[in-house]
Amino acid sequence: MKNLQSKLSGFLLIFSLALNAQGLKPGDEAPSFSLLNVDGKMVSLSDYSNEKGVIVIFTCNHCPYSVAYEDRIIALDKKYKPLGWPVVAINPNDPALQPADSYDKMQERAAEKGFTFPYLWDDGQKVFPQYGATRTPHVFLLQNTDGKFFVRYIGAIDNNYEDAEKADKKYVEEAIAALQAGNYPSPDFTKAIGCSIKIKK
Amino acid sequence: MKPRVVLLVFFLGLNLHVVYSQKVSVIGFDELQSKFIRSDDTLRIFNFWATWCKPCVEEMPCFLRAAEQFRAQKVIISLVSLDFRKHLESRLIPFIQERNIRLPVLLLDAPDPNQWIDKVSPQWLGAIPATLFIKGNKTFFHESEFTCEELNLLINKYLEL
Repeated sequence: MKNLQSKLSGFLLIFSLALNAQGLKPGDEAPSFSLLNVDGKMVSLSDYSNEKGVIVIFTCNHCPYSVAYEDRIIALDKKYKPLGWPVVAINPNDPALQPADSYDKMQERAAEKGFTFPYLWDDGQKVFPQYGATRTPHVFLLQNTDGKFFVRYIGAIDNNYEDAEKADKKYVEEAIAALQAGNYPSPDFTKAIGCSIKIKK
Repeated sequence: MKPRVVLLVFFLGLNLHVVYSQKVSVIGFDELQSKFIRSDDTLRIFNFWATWCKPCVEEMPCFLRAAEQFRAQKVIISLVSLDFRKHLESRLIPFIQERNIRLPVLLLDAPDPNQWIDKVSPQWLGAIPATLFIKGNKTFFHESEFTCEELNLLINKYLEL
């Protein structure tokens, strides 16, 4: 009986662990959101309906990979905002589980680093599951087509988290270049190591 | 007599230090992959973690305890650190020393994960902690944190295969 029980709960464990892979794929329409920015104002995806697209990046304060990419995220925004592809950063973590990712600390970090883009708080953790973000940093490149936003690339910013200089594949930049030229990006999906998103249980 | 004791302690201390530094091997992905041996019936467990990863650090005692608990069985547990290479001396080695970690630690120095994540498991989305279990030609992958009970349950289950 005990053996059966342990087998059964083992099966249930494996089953429940397999259920987490959901979310957007390239080509899907991105759900809208309206979230609180570090400046105290709400920011919505629909605010960007005059842009060519939006570089949505799930990121946060505490994660070393996010920190390693901060300067690169700022550089992306500075380069691509004038071209119609601004960055919108979203912190998906539950601050109760990761105090370094609280709204106050987000404001501090944004000021310290001089973020040139909105840094939004996914209060209640409703947005990141709809996108299928699983880690930080995690990029969703959205293209605006008549006010609807479609996912064109999901994944990493580039191919070297430790050293920007050594990154020889700049996935987000290459994806935008492809879209600007009227093509779909290739690759449209990459994987990367990141910090798991801290989810309220 | 006394100076000898001091000398002995000194050498012991030195030895300990050497042992600890040897415990971290800095390896590339090919070398890691060469450890994914499938030609025998040993259960090989690779836990992907990093010193900065809170849930990883929380579940680590479970892996240490499991290594003790299953010592008599064919189980090999390796801790694969994804810490940055530049943090080997400043963070990883002190962490291992402070927590008295006696399992082999491999620092995976391969900063382009897109090249190797799928080779660990196509299921892996990229978050840690993540753990790979290999037993013969069977492979199991879990991208989640374990309680000690969950981990032991899985080890028992996979050992029986």
